[in-house]
Amino acid sequence: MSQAPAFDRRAAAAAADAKLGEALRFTTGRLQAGRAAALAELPDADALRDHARRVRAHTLRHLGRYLDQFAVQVEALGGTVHWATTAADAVAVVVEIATRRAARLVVKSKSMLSEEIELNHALEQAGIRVVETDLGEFIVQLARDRPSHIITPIVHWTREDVAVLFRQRLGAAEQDVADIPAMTAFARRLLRREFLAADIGVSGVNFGVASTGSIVTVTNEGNGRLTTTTPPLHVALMGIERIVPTVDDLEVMLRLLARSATGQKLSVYTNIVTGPRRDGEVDGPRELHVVLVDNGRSTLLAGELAEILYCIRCGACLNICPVYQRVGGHTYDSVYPGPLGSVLTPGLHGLAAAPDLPQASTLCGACRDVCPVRIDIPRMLVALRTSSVQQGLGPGWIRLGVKAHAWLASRPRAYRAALRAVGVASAPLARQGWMARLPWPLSGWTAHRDFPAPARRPFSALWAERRRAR
Amino acid sequence: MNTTERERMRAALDRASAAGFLPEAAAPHPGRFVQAADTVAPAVLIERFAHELESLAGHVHRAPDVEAAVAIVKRIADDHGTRSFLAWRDDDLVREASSSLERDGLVQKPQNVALAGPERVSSLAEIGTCALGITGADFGLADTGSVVLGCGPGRGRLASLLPPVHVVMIRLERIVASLAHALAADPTLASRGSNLVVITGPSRTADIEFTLSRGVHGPREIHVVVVG
Repeated sequence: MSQAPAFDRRAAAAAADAKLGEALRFTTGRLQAGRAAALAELPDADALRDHARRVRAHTLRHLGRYLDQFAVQVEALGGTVHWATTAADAVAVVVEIATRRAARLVVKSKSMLSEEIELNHALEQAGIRVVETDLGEFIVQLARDRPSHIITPIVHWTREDVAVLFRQRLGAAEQDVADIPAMTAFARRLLRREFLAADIGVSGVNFGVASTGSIVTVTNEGNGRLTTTTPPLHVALMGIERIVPTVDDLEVMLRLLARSATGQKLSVYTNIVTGPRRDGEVDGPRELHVVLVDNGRSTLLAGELAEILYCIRCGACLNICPVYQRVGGHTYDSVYPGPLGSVLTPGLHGLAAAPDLPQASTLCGACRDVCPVRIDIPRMLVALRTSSVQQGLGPGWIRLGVKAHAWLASRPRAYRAALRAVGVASAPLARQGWMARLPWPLSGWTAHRDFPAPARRPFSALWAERRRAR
Repeated sequence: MNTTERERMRAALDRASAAGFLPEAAAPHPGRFVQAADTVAPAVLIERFAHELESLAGHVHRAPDVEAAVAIVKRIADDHGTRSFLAWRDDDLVREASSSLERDGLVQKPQNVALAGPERVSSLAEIGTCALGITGADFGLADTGSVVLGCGPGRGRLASLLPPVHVVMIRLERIVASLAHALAADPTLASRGSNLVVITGPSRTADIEFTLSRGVHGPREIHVVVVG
């Protein structure tokens, strides 16, 4: 066998990291329990999820129409809408807005899309300082790390790690890092100055409401509100699939989002921005730009993976996934980790960019069971594995094995002979129906678990015998 | 709007939406979600509201009349050694409380933030020092312990955002069962001003070791004074 895939090597390293394992077990366990309790408490949770799924399906079928409606509303309110086909287009729009205003400081609230299009780097190249304001993202940025979960980005950090970082990079005093509340207060003071001085606020968008042109962001810390309130200009980065048709549809999604993500009934701040500051209003930005970003989504929408666009980004599939729980977010080497990312990343950027991800699953189906809009992730992982074989990606021995099986399976006589041979050859290795050790390449399986022993006599032989007896 | 870019994207989308495998997309829009009936007796609603908000470490105060409500606000201001505050100007309840605090010598800062230039920065800096923000609310939501604040003339966003302590004054009859009920009662609620915020408890984070800490960017304390 050639060199092990990069995913395997990262997974092995992560699984061997006891501190990471403890943090993942604790956080994903708490989030899972919170979600389960919050959904159990909700009357009609199942009907609500079915309803939300139908809203998402309908919206995506008519996405162009709803985006038009949304854009018309935003512009009627005095906002500007930019359409960006690629990541580069989206970045160029934001950099152009910032340089035209001679902006020096951009504050950002959490946006996975901005990480997908690598916005920060481009702004910094243009000489603009960018400050992430979500506490976790702020720490990630300061440490030049990457988020490892879409909801709790620094699940892989300990309080001691943060204390060291704050002291080394920010000159924090002993009492500033004495405990978690002290570190939080320290970050608040520091970031408050940035909020009040910022020239531009860049936010993500959880939902865009077509009927009103509203942009919705949910945060617990309040950084989403500050980002969209104190700077004189607000840029909202929105993936084109974030649309909901009406405010009533928004309410349905909100009822599911926080409950599925953290077990909260609602996030602390559900912030709905409808256009820039209006005449007579006392605060808020005077300028609003919405950047509608495709970046591979329309290609995804056209194929068999379109259902992944139903996703409302709650992260429940990460928390429940037995693979994510063991290997953590960085192993996926993808902006979107976990089951969601294993479909979305190859869907957006092509299988060649992430050939290992569809394999990083046991197909147990837990992700589909917890998904608030019941996305059939396992179906799409299998579809991606099929494409992977068809495109000749992945290890050569899999293709060889599939070919060998196809050859055998289309030759009944040879097939039966092979089955009998396997039954006989495996007999000495079997103990009570299980085999504990197999020769290479099957040793990869038995290194971690037993393999069921083949029947001593194949089914085809038993079947033939019965028919003769009758 | 860049028309060519828009047209290119729109054309690609229409082709894609028609071609893709979208389970359940053939059905029409399912309409409004109809939920099993809620109990809506006001006594039940306020009890549920208080229970939910208090479980998030928010504070709920009951006041039989406006006078009592103002007294509660004064006590909160006192407890925090407040010298200056930020408050909504067009809300009856809040105006009563503000006048009373001003009579006690507290300074009410102007809400208005200049649109641009150095005045904008200095007005933000001035507001930023307030220890207390007082607002009204369009609705209270019993099922989540939330308050719904629509901004508008005289009703700034910053009073509920910058000060470390936020006091909300609301009449009992404005507490409804859920956000769905609020939207049904007031269909243009979400888009009447440039901003609507649904606030559910004090600002919080659990980013570090999944350990809760309060007041990270927004207020660390929220008090809701319910009148009636």
